[in-house]
Amino acid sequence: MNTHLERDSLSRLAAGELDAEESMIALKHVETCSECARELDFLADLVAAVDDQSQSGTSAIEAREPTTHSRMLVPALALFVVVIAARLVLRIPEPVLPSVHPEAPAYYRVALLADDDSPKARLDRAMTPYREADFVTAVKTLTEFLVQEPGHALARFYRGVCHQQLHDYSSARRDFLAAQETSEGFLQRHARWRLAQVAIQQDDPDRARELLGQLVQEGREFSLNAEQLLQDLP
Amino acid sequence: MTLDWQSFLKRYGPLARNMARGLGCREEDADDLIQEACASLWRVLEETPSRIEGESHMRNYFLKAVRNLSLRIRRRPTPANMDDLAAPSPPTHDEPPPWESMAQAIQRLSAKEQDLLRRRYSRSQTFAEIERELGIPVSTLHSRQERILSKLRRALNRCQEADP
Ligand SMILES: [Zn+2]
Repeated sequence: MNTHLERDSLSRLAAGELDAEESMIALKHVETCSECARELDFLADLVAAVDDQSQSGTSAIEAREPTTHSRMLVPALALFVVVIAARLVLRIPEPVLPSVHPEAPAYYRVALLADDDSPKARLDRAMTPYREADFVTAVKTLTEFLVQEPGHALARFYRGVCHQQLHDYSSARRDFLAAQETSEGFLQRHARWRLAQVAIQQDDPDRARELLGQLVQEGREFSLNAEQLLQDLP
Repeated sequence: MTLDWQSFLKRYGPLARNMARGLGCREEDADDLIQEACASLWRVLEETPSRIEGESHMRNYFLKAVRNLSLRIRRRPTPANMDDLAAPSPPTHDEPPPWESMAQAIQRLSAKEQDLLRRRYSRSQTFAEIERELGIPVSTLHSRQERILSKLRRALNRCQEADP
């Protein structure tokens, strides 16, 4: 824990020379060692600057083989990062997912149909307080909706999120469980991911591990989050 | 907490890409992989912000995500699809990014030194590959790199001390 990494571990990490095991050891060490964390930042800045110079050709000598990937990296990410940044700045509560899965938009984009009395339009109206982050009112409007549409998995999912936001974890758990049992695909996995969060919030790491393990196994859009969370669990 | 994603990615993206490549991820998958690592970080920041506090914590999370994903990416035929989101205007930032003083320090290195940095950190060449191309022994390259890094560290420390 107190021993530093081998002298050139971090520069080899920056050059892409560490294997899976070594890189994990290095990254874990950096979490607890501010000196090595500073060194990692130094190297990140170095790689970014060298990369930048290779692209713009501002260095003393020209790169013989310009690296096409580095030209692509920042532009390719630009759209994505501005979306994230704007959402974080505006604090849009949910729907929050970037559409990492083709099914996602269908769930999250509830059509705005003013005089429509379809369940979809009624749910959209019930979601108004939720979109304004007024979770107390949202629990009421979603409950009213669920009285008319019992077993509506998406509404239960959202009500679960409201309870979770209000730190009422046992109610949240009930709603997420129901949503998980009565849905499939993306929504089911999202409910499972939320159940794992609630298990941690309820101080039940074993249950959390079980759910997270399942998500990792599935290898879909929540598996990376699940994997990361698993590694952080005590 | 707010995060300037553009600066964050500009700072840690290239290192993450080298790392991913070193773990066997193909060039063409690197951007998707980094996007997915961002999506994962973003999701955690949105859903349970208390888990991640401060930029160093985000860096750790992000780099671990890149590492974990790199190991799996070959089994993932469908890359993340972000096409659905509309783009609002980008955030503005006035402060110079941290790599600018680094860039200036690198500019002051000799052509030979800059060439070694580019081979190592932009093209991810190993010392053995560089030895084959330039005929300079690995041990010499190694100590040359050490000298360059110390020089840069010293230069950057001076920059920081000069800052108000
Ligand atoms: Zn250390």
